[in-house]
Amino acid sequence: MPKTRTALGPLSRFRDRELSSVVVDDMELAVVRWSERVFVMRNRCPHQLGPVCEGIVVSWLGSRGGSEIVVDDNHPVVVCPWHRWEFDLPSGAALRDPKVRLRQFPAWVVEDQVFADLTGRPPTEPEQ
Amino acid sequence: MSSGPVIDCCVRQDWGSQREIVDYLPEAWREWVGTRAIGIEAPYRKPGSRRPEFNLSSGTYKANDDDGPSPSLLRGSRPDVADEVLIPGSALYLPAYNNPRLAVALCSAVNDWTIDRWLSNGQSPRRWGSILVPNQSPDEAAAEVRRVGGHPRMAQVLLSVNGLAKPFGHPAYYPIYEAATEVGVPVAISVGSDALPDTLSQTAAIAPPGTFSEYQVLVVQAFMTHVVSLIGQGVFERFPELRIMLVGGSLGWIAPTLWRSDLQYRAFGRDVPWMRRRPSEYFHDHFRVATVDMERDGDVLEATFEAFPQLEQILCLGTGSPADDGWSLEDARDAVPPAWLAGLLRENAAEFYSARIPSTALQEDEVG
Repeated sequence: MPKTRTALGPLSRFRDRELSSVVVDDMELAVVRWSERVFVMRNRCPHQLGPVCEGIVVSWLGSRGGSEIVVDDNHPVVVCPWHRWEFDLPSGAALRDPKVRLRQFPAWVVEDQVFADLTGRPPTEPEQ
Repeated sequence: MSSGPVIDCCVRQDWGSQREIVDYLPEAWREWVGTRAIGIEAPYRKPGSRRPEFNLSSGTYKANDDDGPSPSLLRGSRPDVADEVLIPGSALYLPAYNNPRLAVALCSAVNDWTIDRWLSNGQSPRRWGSILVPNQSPDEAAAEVRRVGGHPRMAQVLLSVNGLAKPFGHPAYYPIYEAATEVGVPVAISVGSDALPDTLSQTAAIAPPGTFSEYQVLVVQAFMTHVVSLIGQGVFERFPELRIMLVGGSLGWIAPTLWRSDLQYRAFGRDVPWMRRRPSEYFHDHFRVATVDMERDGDVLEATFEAFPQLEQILCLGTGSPADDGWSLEDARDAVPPAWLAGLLRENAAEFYSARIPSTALQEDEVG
């Protein structure tokens, strides 16, 4: 477990498949609980600084080729409320413009407590 | 200056008399038509176009009983032009007939007339036909594509007029695209054929334009609708080999439409999950644009080329010959940057029509 960790609260505080807001040292964070996984990010959309935690988190909906569409329930996507930009979790990359990313932080659950490392670079996978 | 044989993607063809088309109808339909007029008149005409002194100076090549076009309408030889892709004039409107059965029969008659009177005369330059389809009956249209699409001189399917009042990205048209990709030819959309007042579709939003001048300004709206629909409905994901030639309609609308489309694509991915690339990428890969009706103002063209430099791979020469208001070969040569000339005059069109038009120049022993 990383040495620098910040407790964000019990897992039960964060409702499954919803965005929640947490403030740590004046920094607003958005927290996503997706079944037993958690994702933590800045509550600020990189597009035009909208409040991400006021958006929604949904299953990935897209296409793997052809005109059929598919849904991936194991793949959460955050949708910003202002302009509906979609961000992949855990990478934080905008689905339609991958060079634009949410600022993410490593997050994990230990003994039903949610922790995040708010000092490190965003990971591609949260540490458990 | 570019050298080498030229492909002209828009040469107008028409009939001297509607009897030419009626003669290609099955006997029963000839009987049904009888002495009725089959032409549908274009609702918008240039000022003075009905005056007899204008009739010989503009218009289309007309087939007659002799081989080749009427001598009175020839605009002089074009030794640089090796290949001409024919775009119908009056026949553009036939698919809009309110009688869908007659529309089917007429499209077949026009295609047989094209093959017999325009593509088989052994003349130089080589002529390539457009398959006219009754797109208000997509299954019959697909059958027509399969019926004549194997002819080696039929270069493309032509989607003219819009009898279903649906943009061309609508799944109703999928049978046509499936047939076109099956026989291995691209599709062309010609501006202007959406203008008929007797169809449900309209050229412009809100209402039909009131004058020819208004129509000339607003005519690109139909193209915008079809392009955004084809891309936005994922037609090129369903038919990745499908390619479209836009004939007419100028260039200035392209960049702003694609800019806005790309913006929406970035934001509203969930709305169109079947789209996997930016709209501008689909446009670059699947569309080509013929230069007929291209803007005339040099400054406007320069700004257009700067705004959308991908036009270098997209523009294909279309003169509108023999109309005297079209783009001559010389005009087109002067209009684009020198580095674009090879693409404009042949390479882009040769690549687009590669399934039919040979990449090499016309050989002396080639006939028909």
